[in-house]
Amino acid sequence: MLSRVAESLFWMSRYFERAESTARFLDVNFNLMLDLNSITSVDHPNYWKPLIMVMSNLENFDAHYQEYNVQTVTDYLVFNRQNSSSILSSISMARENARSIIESISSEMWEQVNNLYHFLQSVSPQQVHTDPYSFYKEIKNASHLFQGITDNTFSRNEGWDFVQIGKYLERADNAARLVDVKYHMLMPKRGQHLDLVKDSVDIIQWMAVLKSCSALEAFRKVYLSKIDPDNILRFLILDRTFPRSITFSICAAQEALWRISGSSLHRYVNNVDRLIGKTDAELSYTTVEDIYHKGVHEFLEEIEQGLIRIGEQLHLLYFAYHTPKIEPLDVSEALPFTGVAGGRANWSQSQQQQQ
Amino acid sequence: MILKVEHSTTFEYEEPIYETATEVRLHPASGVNSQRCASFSLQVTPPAPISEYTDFYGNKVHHFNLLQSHKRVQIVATSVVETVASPTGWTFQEDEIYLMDFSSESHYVHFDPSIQSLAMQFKNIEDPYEQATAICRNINDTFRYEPGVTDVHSTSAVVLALGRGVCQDFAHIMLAFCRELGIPARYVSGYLYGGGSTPDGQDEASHAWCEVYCGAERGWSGFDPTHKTLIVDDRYIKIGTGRDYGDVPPVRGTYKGTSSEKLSVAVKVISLEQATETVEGNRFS
Amino acid sequence: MTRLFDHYDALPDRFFDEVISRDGTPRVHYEKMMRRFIQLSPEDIRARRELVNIFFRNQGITFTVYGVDEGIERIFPFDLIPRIIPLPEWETIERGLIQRITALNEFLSDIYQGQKILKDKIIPPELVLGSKHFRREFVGVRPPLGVYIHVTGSDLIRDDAGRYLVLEDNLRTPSGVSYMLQNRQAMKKAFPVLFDQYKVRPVDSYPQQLLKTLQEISPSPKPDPKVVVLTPGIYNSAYFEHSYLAQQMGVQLTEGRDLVVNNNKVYTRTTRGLQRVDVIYRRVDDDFIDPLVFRPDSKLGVAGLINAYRKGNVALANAIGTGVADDKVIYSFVPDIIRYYLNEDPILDNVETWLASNPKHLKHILENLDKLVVKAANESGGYGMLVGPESTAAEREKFAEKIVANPRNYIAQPTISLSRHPSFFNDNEIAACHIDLRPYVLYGKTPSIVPGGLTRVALKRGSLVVNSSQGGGSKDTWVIDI
Repeated sequence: MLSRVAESLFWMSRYFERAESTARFLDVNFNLMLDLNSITSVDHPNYWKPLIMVMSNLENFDAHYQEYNVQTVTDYLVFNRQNSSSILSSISMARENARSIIESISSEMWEQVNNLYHFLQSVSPQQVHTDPYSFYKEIKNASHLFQGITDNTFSRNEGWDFVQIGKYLERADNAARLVDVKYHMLMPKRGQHLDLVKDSVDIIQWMAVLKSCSALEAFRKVYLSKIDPDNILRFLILDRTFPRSITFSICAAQEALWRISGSSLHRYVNNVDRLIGKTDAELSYTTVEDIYHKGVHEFLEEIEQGLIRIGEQLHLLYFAYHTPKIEPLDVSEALPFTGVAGGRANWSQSQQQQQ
Repeated sequence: MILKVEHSTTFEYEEPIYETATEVRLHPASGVNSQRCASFSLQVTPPAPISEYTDFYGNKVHHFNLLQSHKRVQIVATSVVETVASPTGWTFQEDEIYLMDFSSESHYVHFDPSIQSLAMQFKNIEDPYEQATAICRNINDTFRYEPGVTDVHSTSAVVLALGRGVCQDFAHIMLAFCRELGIPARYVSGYLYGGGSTPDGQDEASHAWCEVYCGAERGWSGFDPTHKTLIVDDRYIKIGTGRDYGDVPPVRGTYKGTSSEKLSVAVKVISLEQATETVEGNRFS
Repeated sequence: MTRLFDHYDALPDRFFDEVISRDGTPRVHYEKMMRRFIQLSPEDIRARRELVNIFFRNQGITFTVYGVDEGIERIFPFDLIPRIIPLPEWETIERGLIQRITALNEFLSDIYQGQKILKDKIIPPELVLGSKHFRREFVGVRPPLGVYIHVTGSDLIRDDAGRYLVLEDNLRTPSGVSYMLQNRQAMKKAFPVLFDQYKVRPVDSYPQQLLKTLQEISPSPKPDPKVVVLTPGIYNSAYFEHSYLAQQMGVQLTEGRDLVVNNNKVYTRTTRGLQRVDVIYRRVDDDFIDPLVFRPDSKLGVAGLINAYRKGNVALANAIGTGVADDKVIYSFVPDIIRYYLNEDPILDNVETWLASNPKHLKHILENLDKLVVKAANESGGYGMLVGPESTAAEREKFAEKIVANPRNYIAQPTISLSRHPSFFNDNEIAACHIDLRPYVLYGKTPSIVPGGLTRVALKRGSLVVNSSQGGGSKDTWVIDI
């Protein structure tokens, strides 16, 4: 498979997943507001700020808007093209990537990306404010449909594996950020976790976190209705069966990487496989107590850093338009990801004037 | 004379670059009754297999590529050439179509209005050889040799406006004059023996001059508008010819990467005839 | 006739109408088509148009417009009424084009190896040497099988007598063949019954024939040579076509950055290392294809590709330097070229052409600017031209200056009254619109043509410009057994 095609499959899938996550977070937050409205005042910017922290960064947001409220945050996360992870930007990028490999994906996959893109073009901010539920549902369904179409129309070869890797690395990353930010908001002081979630606002908020990951029902099946932070962390970080947990996502990405490289348990053939194997092993032998011991934020940050390194090595090994023979093995010396129409151009050597 | 040329070109990069692809035109020409290239070698570091072909104008082109990342490329061409005092071997019946290429504008040679008006002064000289001599002397007299004011991509029009430049520019001006007057003329890339190619006797670059077609009998004659001696003799080593610099750049290439580049060139021409070296050397200075 | 065709404005005295003959009755091969369309209500038409639009949009069949609204993707307007060509008429076109392409290939072979035609003074050498598409870098290099123009698309028009004339030859990277294929798909979806009533020659085998042509020119004896398509990338206006053809042929679509040359061999960069390439169907222009040899600022090319080609390690389709033969100045010599190499009279005529580089012609051009169409010799896509009868005096004056400044670059032709064909202006109004025809010739071991082509239609009222970039649309083209 062409390195460029593999790279575009990876990013197409990654951007699609990102759009879905964003839609999911916004949707849940919206519902959360409705739930909380009866108990407490929801005008506080702290109800919207975390979304920006999870999906983007505060500086970029502050550069465009004055305050954190439903309108500005929705606009920023859904429509703003200056925000590279807004739903519109993500789907545009997914589509650009798909378009550049249109001959390598099934026409149904292309139609689905294209449909969603055209749907987004036709939606006005007003529509989203009037009926957020339908809008986010449309995005989530479109993403599920895309994955279903991919599973059913795309050959199970290397290309499909790159789609899986993109999807699960993004999902693990989003889950880690979500838990990190929410935990930070709800657990201001380390060590006092058990007492603080007693009030109903916090419980509602934790439920919202679970809903963001479509995890509420699955969670209840395991832990009944014991919604406490221990169980929630255990479920969202360490559960091996729930498809939006960090561990599950890492495992799924690892399996796809193994299929490509031929690595297996305890036997890695390249640096990506080594790094993801290490992360997986780490998660496999971790308990919630370990996480508390290390500090939730520190633990999650380490996972996020690990995911970045995995992405870099993946890029070097498979996408850098090279065989390892051509490009230096050191990440810092290799060319970065440059986007769909990016660089890797030829430069002319200087010429000397004849004198 | 028997002359040995060592021409070294080095590219250095701050950061690793990769996929260098380079074409060089460094092989001296060989002709009957003119110079003869006795030996030629080309060394590339890091080492790479070298291929060759002959281009449209009969020049030998060598090319190579380097895939792996690297921070330095060095190209060293070494040749031994036997030159003759008045090269006549380039004289032969050139076909009309080939000559046409040397009679019109080209990438670096333009027929702008100032060339057209300046060329008028040579219009009434009948013999093309005399015409070329007059043009050559005129350029040598009126243009100032000054490195650094033009660059490798300056066209004849730019140089004309500046009134200054280096040999490459002088050659382009002379080509513009000759062609404007309907005399076929071509650009010559090569070397000059005798304490350096520039008038101040430096050895940092290759040299360039012109050949003018003076009718079927006389053929191509060499003129060097950069040096007072004007006429090309056995101190000159010719590599190849083309419409202008663009057809015969000594080294041209591309690479991938984001680093800045530093180019350095060293050219050394020595005589292998010990006895005559001083004499020849003095004659120039 | 009722309804749809009631107000059809065929003007058979001024233009050749493809459907209505001089006496006002429909031509025999169009009768069934007209009967079918008359049965349709505006709602039926609208439904079918919607079907077709969704089909095109979902396939991503869009093109990019330069100039105004830069970068906007549009659906290439498609007209529902098919253009029908009876087989005997088609056979003349086919013979004529094969004759023409054979001669042009001979011409290229001669220009790049020997230049006999210039020495014999059939064509003034300065016109060839002065063409910006003449590639000195390629002189003396013999391409596989001696074939230069593997894929061509010549534009044919019909004058007021219905005579087919060649308007221009596209010998570099002609585009539009994907529209020919997609238009057929769309018509089959929208009018299955009508399609069935005619015995329409199929065009669907084009991708397979293209692949066969490309494999035939492989320099490697491998039974299954590796073919790739080389595209400038997704921002190219014909990107859809590049990917569509790659997909239909089952070969990789590559960009310049996907290819690398090592020791004069070409490779693709894959997730498993470098893989050797034998044949490149390139849709990148000469100028941009190799920064080592051509434009050094090209970011689309592959450094070293030309040297690999020169060494015979890879084949390019089309070859380098074919543009010298579709230059609009050289165009005027094509009848002479046919006579010179084949010793035959041309089956298809040229449009009368005046060269601005010829002083006598130039005088004629300048005196008749208001009646002529003046074109820049090296431009395509309807850019850089002056349509005399539609121009203002000021425009003509400005253009005259450009012509005088650079006569080698301009030619002029009489304004040909292109034939007309009923087309939809909107869902219930049919009007006569000017059309042309671009059939595609493939040339591997032998030249061949898929029966059909792209019929382009000028959908702006009265306009003669059919280029997609200038507001044109297209129709399906049916070659039928009678």
